[in-house]
Amino acid sequence: MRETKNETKQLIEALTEDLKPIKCLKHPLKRVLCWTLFTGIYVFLIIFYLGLRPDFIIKISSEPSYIFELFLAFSMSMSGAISSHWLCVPDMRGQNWMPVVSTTLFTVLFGWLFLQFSVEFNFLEQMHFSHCMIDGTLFGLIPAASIVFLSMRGKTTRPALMVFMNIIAACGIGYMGLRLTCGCDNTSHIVIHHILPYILMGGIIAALGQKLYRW
Amino acid sequence: MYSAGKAGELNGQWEELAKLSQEGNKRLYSHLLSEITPYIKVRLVSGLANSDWVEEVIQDVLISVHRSLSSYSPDRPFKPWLNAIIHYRKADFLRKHYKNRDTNRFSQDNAEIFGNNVTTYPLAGELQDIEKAMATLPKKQQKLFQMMKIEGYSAAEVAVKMGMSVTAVKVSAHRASNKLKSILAE
Repeated sequence: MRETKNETKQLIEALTEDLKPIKCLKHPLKRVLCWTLFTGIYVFLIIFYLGLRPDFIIKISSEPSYIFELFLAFSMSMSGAISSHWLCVPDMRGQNWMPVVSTTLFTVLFGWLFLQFSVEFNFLEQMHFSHCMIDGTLFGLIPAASIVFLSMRGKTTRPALMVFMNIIAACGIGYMGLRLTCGCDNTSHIVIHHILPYILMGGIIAALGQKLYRW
Repeated sequence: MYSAGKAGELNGQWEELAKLSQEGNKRLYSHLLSEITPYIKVRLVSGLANSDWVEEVIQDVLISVHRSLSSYSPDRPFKPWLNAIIHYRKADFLRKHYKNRDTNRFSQDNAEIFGNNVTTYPLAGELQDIEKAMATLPKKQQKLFQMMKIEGYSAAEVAVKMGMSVTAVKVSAHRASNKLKSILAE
C-alpha cells in the first residue's frame, strides 16, 4: 500500500515534469460551426456535380411529407454533430441531455421509414446495384471522416455514445443529400440503396470507434 | 513564476490552478495534482472493494487528467470535469477486471487445463506465470519493462535507447507494472 502511494507521488512528479503550455480545445459551438460549414460546402458541391432531382420544385411546393423528411434528416444530422462536439469534453460541459435529442430524431426518422417500408415491401425486386450506393458514399464518407477526426481531438468519456452520434451526424447529411438528388421515392429503394450503405458505414465506424476514442 | 506561497493561496481553487497549469506552470500543476488526489480517493473508496485497486485507479485518473487537460475550459467548474474522468476510469477498470476474470475461469474437473495450469514445482510455476503475464504486454512495453525492472536500466537510459521521452517511459512502465500485478493477482 505504502509502495503504491510512493508510486502515485512519483507519477505526479513525472507528469509535472512532462507539463508544457497547452492550447485549450475550442468551444464546441465553434467546432460545430467549422464542421457544418465544411460539410455544407462539400454537400453543395456534390449536389452541384450530381444535379438536383428533376421534380425537386414540384416536390418542395406540393409535398409536405418530403419537406418533413428533409427537415428531419437535417435536424438529426445537426443534433448528432452538436452532441459529438459536446461529447469531446469529459463532462459534456453539463449538457448531458443533448444525445437524447439526436436519438429521438433518429428514432422518428427510422420509425417513419419503417412504417412506409412495411406498407410497400418489395425487398427482392430492389436488390440490384444502383448509382445511389456510390452517391451515398460520396455524400457520407467525407462528413463521417471529418467528424471522426474532429472528435478524436477531444477526450470523450463515452466512446460508444460518441460513435453513435458520429454515425447520426454523417448519415443524416448523407441521407438528405441523396433525397435531394435521387428521383426515386420508392421506400424499398430508399431503405436498400440510401440507408443500407450508411448502416454498413456505421458498422465500420462502430467497430473502429472503441479503439479510436480510447485514451 | 508563482511561489510556494501563491500555491498555498490557491488551495481549493482548482479552476484557477487548472488554468495556470494549462499555461505551463509546473509548480501549480504539481500542487493541483496533489490536491485532487485525496478527492479522487474519496470518490473511489466507496465503489471499489480493494484498496490496491483504489490506488491503481487514482493513478489512471491522474494520467487521464494530464492527457485531457486541454479539454478543460477555465470558465467551467473543475469538479464535474474531474468527476466525469473519475467515473470513466473506474468503469473502465471494473470492466477490464470482470472481463479478465470471466475469461480466466475454468472448471477444476477438466484434467487437461488443471494439469497445464497447476504446477508441481512452485518456483517454476511462478516463473511460468510471470512469463505468461509478460507475454500479454505489447512488444514495446515488454522490452521497456524488461530493461527497467529486470535489467536495471534507468528511465533516462531506456528513453534514449527507445527514442521516447523520460515521462513516457515512466508512464508506460507504470502501466505495465499495474497490468502484470492485476494478471498475477487473479
